Amino acid sequence: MYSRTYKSLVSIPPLFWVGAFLLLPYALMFAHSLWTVREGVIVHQWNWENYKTLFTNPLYAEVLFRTMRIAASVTLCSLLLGYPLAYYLAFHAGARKELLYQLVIVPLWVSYLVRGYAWKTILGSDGVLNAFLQYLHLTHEPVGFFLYSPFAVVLMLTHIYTPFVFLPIYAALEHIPRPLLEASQDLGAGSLQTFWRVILPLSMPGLLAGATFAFVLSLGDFLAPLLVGGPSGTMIANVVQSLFGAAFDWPLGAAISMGILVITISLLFLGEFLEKRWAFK
Amino acid sequence: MGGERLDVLPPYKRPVNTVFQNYALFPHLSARDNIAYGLRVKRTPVSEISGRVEEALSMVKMQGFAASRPSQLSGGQQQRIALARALVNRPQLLLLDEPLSALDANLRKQMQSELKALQREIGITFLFVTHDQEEAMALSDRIALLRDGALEQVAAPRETYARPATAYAAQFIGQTNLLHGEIRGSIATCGALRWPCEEADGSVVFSLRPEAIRLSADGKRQTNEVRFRAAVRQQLYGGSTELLEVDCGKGQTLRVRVPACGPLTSEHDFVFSISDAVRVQE
Repeated sequence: MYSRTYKSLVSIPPLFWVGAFLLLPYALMFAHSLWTVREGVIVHQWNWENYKTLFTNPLYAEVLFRTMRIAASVTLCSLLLGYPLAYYLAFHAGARKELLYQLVIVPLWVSYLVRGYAWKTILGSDGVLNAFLQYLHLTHEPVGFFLYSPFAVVLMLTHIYTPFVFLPIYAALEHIPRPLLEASQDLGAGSLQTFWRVILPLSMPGLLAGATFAFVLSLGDFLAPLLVGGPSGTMIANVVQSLFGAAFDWPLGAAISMGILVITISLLFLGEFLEKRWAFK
Repeated sequence: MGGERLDVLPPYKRPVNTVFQNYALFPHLSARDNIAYGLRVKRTPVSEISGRVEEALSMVKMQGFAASRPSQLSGGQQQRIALARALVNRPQLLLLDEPLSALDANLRKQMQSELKALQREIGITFLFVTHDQEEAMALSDRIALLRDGALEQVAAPRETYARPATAYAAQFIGQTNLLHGEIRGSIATCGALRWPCEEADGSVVFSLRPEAIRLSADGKRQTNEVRFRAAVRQQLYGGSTELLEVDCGKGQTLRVRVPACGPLTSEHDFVFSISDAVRVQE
């Protein structure tokens, strides 16, 4: 047993961390969201106007819905890519497992920005993809919608977050005791039934964790829309950024941030609740 | 099985079900759903499933645990559910892969007798894999003894014990003395022991069970018996019996199991009948 003094001492650093870098900034942000800007100056006058704007101005709702649509698409695409990959690695890769695993992880070491610019190079009007299509005479002039569109944002975010989806699913699949699969076969189930009735339910916690990662991270993403999104691919984080920057409306930016925060936290709780429901010992 | 090869069929098409060593119950399913698994997979009509599951549950006396998850059940209870999950499919053959190895000694004994009773009741073949010789002797109608993947002997337990085919079988099932020696001119000679033996000349190995050797109270020697004098080197008391290690001279020691008789010292006369020395393959 540790003494009370020891326990208090070791809890000071984390408490300080949480207080200084989490609670305090959130409190400041919440305070800002209740203030207002008058003649280029933030006025400390308590009011709910920013939240009213948020709910009444259709522009913000539209961007928010687009953001959620993009995040949902990214989640779906990452799952469709990440799950089969994790499945293959966990059950069928054999000796290549280690190598393939590293190959999945390696992109995580490459800067986010570099990967963003790479997509710009690939998707642009004079980019690799368009040059290739023209070389094949499939198109005669550059296709414009590859870059600067929600499509480009989904593509780039899927590329970036698929490893995050892959990892928890892979871990869940690796932890499925192999005798369970033998038992399933023994009881008359083919591979498809075994997948549907045993593997999928048992990997559900991993799948939910991965989906939560992809959705939440995409929801708050700001660089992908900036690099490859264009005006039609603008997401809510870009709106917040411009409100804090050029538009100099910190209170409204803070209110939107609070809105995103509430959505994110609800999603995290939902994810955790579902994971617990699916969890097994 | 029934004249057909099973190894060419994929596992899910064999009319065989298995009770796995660590049960391999599905952790995300209740006991009831575990048992229903095989029926659901085979698209058994829903109306039939619940009846058969209940039947299987009562067969293993687990009616009260239908809704429990495997993690909420003890080892013995999981064992019963695993058994019910296999039997509900009415297999023609039930494989049991060391099913009792994870249970403690008492529960193990209890499950052994229940398994035997259950097998008698439903009348299908149980193929029971075990490393425990006693378990094999107690449960089986026939023992197939494997050594390095090859069959050593297939026989009823009593036959395997009384007439082991090989030295390995003799040593593996129960305790024995292996007597190495030779036959010459119809006389078998193993160390200090000699007796008449009507077999071809050459070197031989005999298996002689410790309990086949008795202390000879009177000095009378009967035909077909081998009598020898030996010094008691060690005595292990085992309740109803005692296990002696005796020295017959010429560096030959034998293990002898006699009814409990109090401490023994120095030399005694021992006797065994010739027919108990069973010739085995090396």
